[in-house]
Amino acid sequence: MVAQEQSLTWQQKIKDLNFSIIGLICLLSFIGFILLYSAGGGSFSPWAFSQMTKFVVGFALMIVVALLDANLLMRYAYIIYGTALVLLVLVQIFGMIGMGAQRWISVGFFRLQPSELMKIGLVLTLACYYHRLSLEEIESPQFLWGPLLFIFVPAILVLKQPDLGTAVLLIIIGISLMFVAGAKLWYFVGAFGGLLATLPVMWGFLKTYQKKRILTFINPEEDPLGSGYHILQSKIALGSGGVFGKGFLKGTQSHLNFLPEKQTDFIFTMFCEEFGLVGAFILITLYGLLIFQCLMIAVRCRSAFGRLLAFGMGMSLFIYVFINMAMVIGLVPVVGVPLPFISYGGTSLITLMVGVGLLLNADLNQSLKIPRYQ
Amino acid sequence: MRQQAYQKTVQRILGIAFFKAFLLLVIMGRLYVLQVFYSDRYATLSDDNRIRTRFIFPQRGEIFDRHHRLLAQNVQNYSAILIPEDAENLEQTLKTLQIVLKLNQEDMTAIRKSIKQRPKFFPTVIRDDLSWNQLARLEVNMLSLPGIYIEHGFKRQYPLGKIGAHVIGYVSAPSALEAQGNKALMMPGAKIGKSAIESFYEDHLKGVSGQKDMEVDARGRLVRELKYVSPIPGNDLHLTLDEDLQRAMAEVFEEQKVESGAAVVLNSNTGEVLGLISVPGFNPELFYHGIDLENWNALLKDPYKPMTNKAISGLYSPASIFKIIVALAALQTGHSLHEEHSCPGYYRLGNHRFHCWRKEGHGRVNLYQAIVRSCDVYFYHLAAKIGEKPILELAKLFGLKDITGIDLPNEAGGFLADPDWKKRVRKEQWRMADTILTAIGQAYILSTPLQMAVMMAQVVNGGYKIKPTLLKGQNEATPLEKIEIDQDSVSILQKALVDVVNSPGGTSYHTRIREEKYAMGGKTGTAQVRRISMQERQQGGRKDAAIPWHLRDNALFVGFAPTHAPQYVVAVIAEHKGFGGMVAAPIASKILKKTQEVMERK
Repeated sequence: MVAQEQSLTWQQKIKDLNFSIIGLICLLSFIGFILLYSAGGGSFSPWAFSQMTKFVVGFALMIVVALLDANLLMRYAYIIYGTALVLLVLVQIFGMIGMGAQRWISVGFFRLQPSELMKIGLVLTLACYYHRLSLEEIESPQFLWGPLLFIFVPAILVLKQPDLGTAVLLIIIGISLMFVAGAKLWYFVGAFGGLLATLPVMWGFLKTYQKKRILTFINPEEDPLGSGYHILQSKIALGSGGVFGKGFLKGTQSHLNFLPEKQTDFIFTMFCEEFGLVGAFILITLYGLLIFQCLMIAVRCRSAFGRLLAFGMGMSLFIYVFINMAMVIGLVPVVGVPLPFISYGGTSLITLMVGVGLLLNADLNQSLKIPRYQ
Repeated sequence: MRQQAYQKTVQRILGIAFFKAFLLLVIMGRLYVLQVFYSDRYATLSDDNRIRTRFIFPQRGEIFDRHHRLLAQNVQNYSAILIPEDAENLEQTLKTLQIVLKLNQEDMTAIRKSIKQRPKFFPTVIRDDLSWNQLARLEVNMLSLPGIYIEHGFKRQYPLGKIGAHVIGYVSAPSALEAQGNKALMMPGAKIGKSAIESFYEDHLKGVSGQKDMEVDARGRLVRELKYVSPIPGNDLHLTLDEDLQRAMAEVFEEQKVESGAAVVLNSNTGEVLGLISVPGFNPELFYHGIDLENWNALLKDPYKPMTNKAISGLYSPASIFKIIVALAALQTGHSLHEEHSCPGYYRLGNHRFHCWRKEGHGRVNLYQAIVRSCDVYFYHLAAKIGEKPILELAKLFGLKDITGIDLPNEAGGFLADPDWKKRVRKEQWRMADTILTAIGQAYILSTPLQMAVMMAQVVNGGYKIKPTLLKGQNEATPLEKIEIDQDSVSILQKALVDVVNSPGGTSYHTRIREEKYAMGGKTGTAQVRRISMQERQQGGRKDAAIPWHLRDNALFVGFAPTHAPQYVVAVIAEHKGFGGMVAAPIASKILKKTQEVMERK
């Protein structure tokens, strides 16, 4: 690893972009278009075409972020985080009502979802924070409070929206970053024990519908026409797909609307119904490769900032994939997490593409020495 | 220091990577279980979700008499159905409907309930079996009734009505138990044969349901039709019954004012049932749409038991008719035709007197005279002489114990008590008195009218076993089994039975058929329903009017015709109508005459 003082010119950067990652992203998004075409009943409207336009926007943003100067990212990390935090507070005040949850701020022609911005902001901030610390400092307890605040202040705000899925995502990403950065192992063991102990208390803070989701998850057949309906119909769709699936556009569960939210949270179910176990294994392999790439970049990065950035992106990608899949097959409660690059939804797609941009950025600057303070 | 931090980070990243790989494998494993192990189960659930099956009922086979006249037919009927989804404004349609069909509030509640229970695309029957008037009113107002359709179907009609109810039976909606495991039978509107021929030949008549599979979406809307299988109509059935005879039998019972009774006419050579009636009858069409509670209770509580087919399930003491068997048994065991006994009006056994029906007695009679004049005392002597054993054996041989095997459900077998039975059930010894009562067919003997008819047929057809049947062409091919019996004895008995009716001293001389070619023979029977007390006997017999209906004697007659070459037999029971020769014999006489007339016509 040759230390690199100066950043590359943008022409060189474009040449050095990690095209295997870009290829994987395009492939996954393409699968998404196909599925949204099927979900629309064999039509580009209402979802597939709209998703394609958002992909174009996201793709452009991804390249721009990839080419940014890494020092610049370091400099603006806290500012991005701070902006996201302010917006999260604002959304509590002015948020518009959607699906019984306040999540958006209307900015002219599009809806801004501060929790999405926070996913990026949190990873950047923690990467930046740990980049500036030595191992001794990282291991000492007095540097534990900063990261914990960074994580839990937005997590609680998001939970109040209420968006359990994103809150859980923020906490897991944040904690895993602390772990990877090098904080002492027994903190985590202790925290885990503490968590188990306070679980009954946390239960009291959950909204009725959140409790209901967890209860139906534990016993979906108890109320097959009510809350258990989603999980049950999802399992029927998956199981009836069999090894090779019912065929493209031939998923009866999804096309006859027995499957809820087939274009968003339950899109993996529809995929499995139409393409079977074989399709599912291929898709999981693709995600596996992408996550593996993230980890490889993290390991290769010379700077702690890049390392944590790449790891953080890989981690959030993994959490998305795992929670979404585990949710539709009934392993975890339904929490409303999309399948990355495939589920319909511009905000989540664009956030993910920006995240991949950061990943590509870390990859390009893997040999760059980033000073602790700019 | 930096290097150290780097190593720690890489180690932990690797640890997390393994953990991630493990979690993804868990997902893959779970998918494998769902999509491979439970695939079939979920595939079925998925089809249950999306496929709605409607069964199309086949046309039931029709039932004809021996001359191809309809006894059970399918007639077109019209019903009004509503498909809620097609109504622009369901409330408006229902309101208009209420006015057009003059429905009351109860009907409307039922209709609304039925609409709520089904998916919106599913038809609900508003009114079945529309009258012409209703149909016309609906047709005229069709434009203001969106969602209402007129569907034409079939309903079962029985031209004979209550006259044929016991032999043809009826159809009705299957019970939950009957429909179990058969999805077509669970559909509203399904009907199955519930009694008599309609039930016995259900498989022959019913046909095979057609099926329409429709794919529906989660809201229950029809997406497309997946499969259509046409129904296969049921097979027609040709019976041995004669419609004219059946009607004539009912008329005769009415003429004689019989409240409760039965008659069955057989071809004594083939076992074909030409007529079978049980009085009173019931309207078989009452059950088609499900009988209402009021009518049902009325049928159940009727003291004359209209729902029982007395010809095949009614058990009666054969009384003097049983003397046919006793006489045959005696002749078989070598009893001389010329042996005479004197009848003073009673028979003394120890301290007990067994009375003859004729108080003043018959004087000296031989077997032949004893049959013709139905002398009880002579038969007491016979029974005492030969014992109960040969009598009961012969009765069994002539089919008075087992069911005859007629093709109708719920046939009852007869009852013949023997010493074994009495010991086992009554815990009493068989006494001479039992043997003596057996001789006149009282006490522990019960038979159905059909059994008596079959017995008579086997006596007059030369001793061939027959199995009664209602299905035309059924018995032609089967060779008849012969009963081991002495032909001379049979001839003697036959001659005596002819004279019961045709000689001036016979018990039913007054009811003989005067046309010689139709002349009949037979035996009367008067079955005591209860013991006659000594007091009553001393007071000079009983006046029927003075005792309650259900305690009066049963009148019986079994007959055959024509006397020169017997071909038809009849058994008649008129419950609680007193002396057999007075009521049952004239009924039998008229029936046998009619039988020969209709059979001659062909």
